[in-house]
Amino acid sequence: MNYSQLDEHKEKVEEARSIIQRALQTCKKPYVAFSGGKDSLCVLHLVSSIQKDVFVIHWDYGRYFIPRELHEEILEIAKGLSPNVMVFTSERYEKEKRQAYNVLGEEFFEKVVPKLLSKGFDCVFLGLRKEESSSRRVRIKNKVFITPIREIYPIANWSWLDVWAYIASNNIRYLSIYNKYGEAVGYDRARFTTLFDQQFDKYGTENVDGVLMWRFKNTK
Amino acid sequence: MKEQEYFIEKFLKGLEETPTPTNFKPCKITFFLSSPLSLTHPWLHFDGVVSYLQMRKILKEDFFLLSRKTRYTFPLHKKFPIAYYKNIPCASVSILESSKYKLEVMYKRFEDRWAGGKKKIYRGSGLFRDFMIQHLYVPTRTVSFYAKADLEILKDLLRDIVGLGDNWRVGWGAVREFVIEEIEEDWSIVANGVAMRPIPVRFLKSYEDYVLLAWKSPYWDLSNVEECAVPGTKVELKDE
Repeated sequence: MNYSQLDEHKEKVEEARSIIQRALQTCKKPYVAFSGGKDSLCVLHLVSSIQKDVFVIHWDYGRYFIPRELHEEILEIAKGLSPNVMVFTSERYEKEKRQAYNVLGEEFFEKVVPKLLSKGFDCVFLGLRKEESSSRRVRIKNKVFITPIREIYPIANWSWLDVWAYIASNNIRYLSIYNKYGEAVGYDRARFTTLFDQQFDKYGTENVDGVLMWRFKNTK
Repeated sequence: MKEQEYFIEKFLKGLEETPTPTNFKPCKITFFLSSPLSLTHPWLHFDGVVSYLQMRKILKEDFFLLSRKTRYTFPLHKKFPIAYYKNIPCASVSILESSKYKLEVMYKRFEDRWAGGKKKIYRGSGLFRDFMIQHLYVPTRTVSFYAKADLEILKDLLRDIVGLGDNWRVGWGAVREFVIEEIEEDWSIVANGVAMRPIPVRFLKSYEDYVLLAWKSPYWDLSNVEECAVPGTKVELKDE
């Protein structure tokens, strides 16, 4: 028997579905924030299995942080789950290249979110999990929304094992980069973040990227 | 005297005392390790290792005073113990016993004894910042390189080596001993039609795969990055 067949996992999936269903009844225009990572992938799959035409919003970090072939893969996966995929980015990524810092905070939250609000989006499904960090645990517990848009966390109680069990049992296409990282660092630690990003330097992610994504290191 | 001039002068003075390489021979260098090799790139560059050792030997303690912000132009190639072929150093990348990477996480945590009597310190940023550093390592017992070098000078330089790869200062990639063997064929740049190091494509007649890579030391310097054939892929050098 594998983990996806256990009641423990099935209960968590049911819990996530009921959170989504309750939210969909109260929200007028929700969207799924899709990074391309495994957590937002599960959320998108769960939501789109209930509401097929849900809006999907993806933030593109630019070609200096995400290789274009990976970006294409993200879009293919998103479009495979919903027809309404919207992509936003910032010109700062081209101007500042790998020196770009906190662009998401300054551009998405300050410029894109007001646009979304004006278009009537009132609720966002996020793939945050309590297990990820203490700050996320506090954020989920206290419902600290970083924008005026209401945040829903369907998989807040999921572990990394639940995420992979859900992906495997539903045969969902996931980003190929996970296979590369999973093999070296373990599937429990494999995370999809921007590559060669000084923002994550203190975690030594550049050391790992340098070995596994060396082809992308000197992008000009 | 300006800082840069001081270091250049010191380097040139040290270079005068450095023996001039004369007899370049193809060789294989094998390092025997007593701890796993930590890496930040899939391979090590032997000319990078030798450049580092030569810089340290010439500048002595001043080596550690070099600024990270200043760009120095040391004429390292003048007495470099490794031969050049059309500006390409005749030194291969590392050949390891295994290519299986494993993850290790190192933690740097604040300790009272470093506070210097301060009552309050910040651990989120600054001097006492906490770190959680991930790095990959390869459990290999040997690291081999091919080169065309002056064996006597090379042997003398390699005696100073403590470790290879990243994080050697905390025990990774500790070198137990090394062996230099003279070989008949030069496998430092191309061996049996396969690139043994990054080779700029402008030096090649044909190549299988290319990527933007640094091809000479210092390998961290972006000005040394060019479209290069990937080590381990098929290449053919342009005729002389």
